[in-house]
Amino acid sequence: MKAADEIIKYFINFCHEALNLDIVQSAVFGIGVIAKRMDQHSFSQYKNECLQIIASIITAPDAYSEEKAVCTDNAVGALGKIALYQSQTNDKVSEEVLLKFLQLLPLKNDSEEAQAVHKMLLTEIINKNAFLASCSQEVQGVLINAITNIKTQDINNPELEILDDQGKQLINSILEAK
Amino acid sequence: MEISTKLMELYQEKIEGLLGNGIAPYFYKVIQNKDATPNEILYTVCFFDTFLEHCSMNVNNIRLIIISLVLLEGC
Repeated sequence: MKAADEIIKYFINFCHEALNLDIVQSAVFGIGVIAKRMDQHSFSQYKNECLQIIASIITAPDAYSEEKAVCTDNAVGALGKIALYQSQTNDKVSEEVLLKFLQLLPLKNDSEEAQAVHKMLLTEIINKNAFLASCSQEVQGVLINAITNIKTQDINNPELEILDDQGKQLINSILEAK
Repeated sequence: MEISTKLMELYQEKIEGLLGNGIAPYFYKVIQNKDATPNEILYTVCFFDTFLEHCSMNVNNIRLIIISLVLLEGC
């Protein structure tokens, strides 16, 4: 048994058990970390359950309450990692996961996670992520909207610090190229 | 936990052997322990978050390092 396989099972269980919010936040973040680094074949057996866990966190009625908002941002970050690193081209479900992620941007409640997730998306665009590049025109439009919303949010609410200096540079170069 | 995660973030390849071979097996035991306290679980999850995020090794190949040591220790 591989270590990452063992650990993701515990992360999934900790999200289900929900002993406390800090554990759920760290475990769902860890699911995202593994989604980013595990090969698609290995992750495929966990993908649906991970998406269900993430959905239950981000669709909770109080998902953006003061208590839960940081945890929700980490769940959205994990969704983004699944969307960007565990998707197949020409796959409707993969596009739906990406669309859901893009619609939840920008992250505003956890500046550290917001900067990391926004930079991850911008870097993948610059690096011509194969899945992103293969998406339909409709999805490309949502992608540009999401980026524009991140930039607008950053300009209007600089105190939220949703972009670091590198993120600002990346977003400007992407929007200038459009 | 804080020390090991900071060391991982700062020194990565230089420290990951120690963390993967020396410390990860102990944290792995904690998450297997049904009587672990919430704080112990939290620290363990944070440790593996940082280790898996920053380690230079292929995540798919880490199995032998962690699990074999846990088994060896149990012998």
